[in-house]
Amino acid sequence: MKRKIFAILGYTALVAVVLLMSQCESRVTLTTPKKDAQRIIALAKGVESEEELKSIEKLARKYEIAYERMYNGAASLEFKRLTNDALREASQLCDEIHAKNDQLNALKSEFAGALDMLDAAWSYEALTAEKYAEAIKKNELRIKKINAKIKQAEAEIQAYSDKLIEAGYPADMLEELGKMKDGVTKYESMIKVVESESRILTIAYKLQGGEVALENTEPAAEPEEPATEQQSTTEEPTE
Amino acid sequence: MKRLFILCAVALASVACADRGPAVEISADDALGVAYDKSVELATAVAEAKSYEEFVAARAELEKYEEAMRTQIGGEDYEIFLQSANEVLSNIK
Repeated sequence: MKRKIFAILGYTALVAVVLLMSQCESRVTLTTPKKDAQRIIALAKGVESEEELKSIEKLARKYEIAYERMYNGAASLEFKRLTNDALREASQLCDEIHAKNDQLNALKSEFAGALDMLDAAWSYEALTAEKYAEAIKKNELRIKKINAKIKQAEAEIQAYSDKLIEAGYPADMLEELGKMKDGVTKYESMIKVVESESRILTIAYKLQGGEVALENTEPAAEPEEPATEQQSTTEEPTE
Repeated sequence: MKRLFILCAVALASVACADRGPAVEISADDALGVAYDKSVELATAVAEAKSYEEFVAARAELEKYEEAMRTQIGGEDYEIFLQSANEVLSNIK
């Protein structure tokens, strides 16, 4: 019996300690709504990342709740009113930083992609005018075929969407529609791959001394045969 | 045993230093010049290489400056560096 009582008391004490600790963690020291708002505003002005913004927003929320509990709704509203603009501005700044990072990442991948493409072109096998024209034509045909498949898939998606509306958007049909749309995305990325192959081919052909007509991707009427010296240099890296 | 350790250390050091060349250091004063002019100069060397070996060397030099700009300068100057280089490199396509 004694043991049981001690066990219950021990658990109760443990729960009390945990609750007290969690309260201490989330507790904020209140001064006045104006002073606390100034603190939040100062922090919001120095925001440089989304994580920082989130932690400041969390802190502001803690103040709001604390004002509501300790004083009244008016003090909480006053604090919210004072901090609202600064937090909104910080959020806008975060969005701008996010957009800028995206832009920088796009530039980086364009830079790396261009260098890799050039490397692939330099490593390309020796191309004659016929070989080049044939490969380009083949790629154009591949693109045409994929485009036809995309058109067909889009028509099927349209028909399926109509059925989906009639059926009242059941989950299995929505999933099927998602799969169909994924198929189109895959076809589109296939086109990008083929286009990239064609670009590498064109650069490789140019590097080997071939002339490329700008209007269409076919070679000029009487293209120069690539110099034998350059062919040997382009073949070297692939060996 | 001691000799073996020394040999291993020398081998490791030589592997670490191989093909790297001297690191590029860019001061804040030079950053704008590197971003606008040096990037174009280096990218042009890549684009106009006459052999694969020349291309590889020019690419390595361009990437060395890109890394230096990214790690030492960053910000808008680094963005300009990439934009200028990309413009030259995309013209080959």
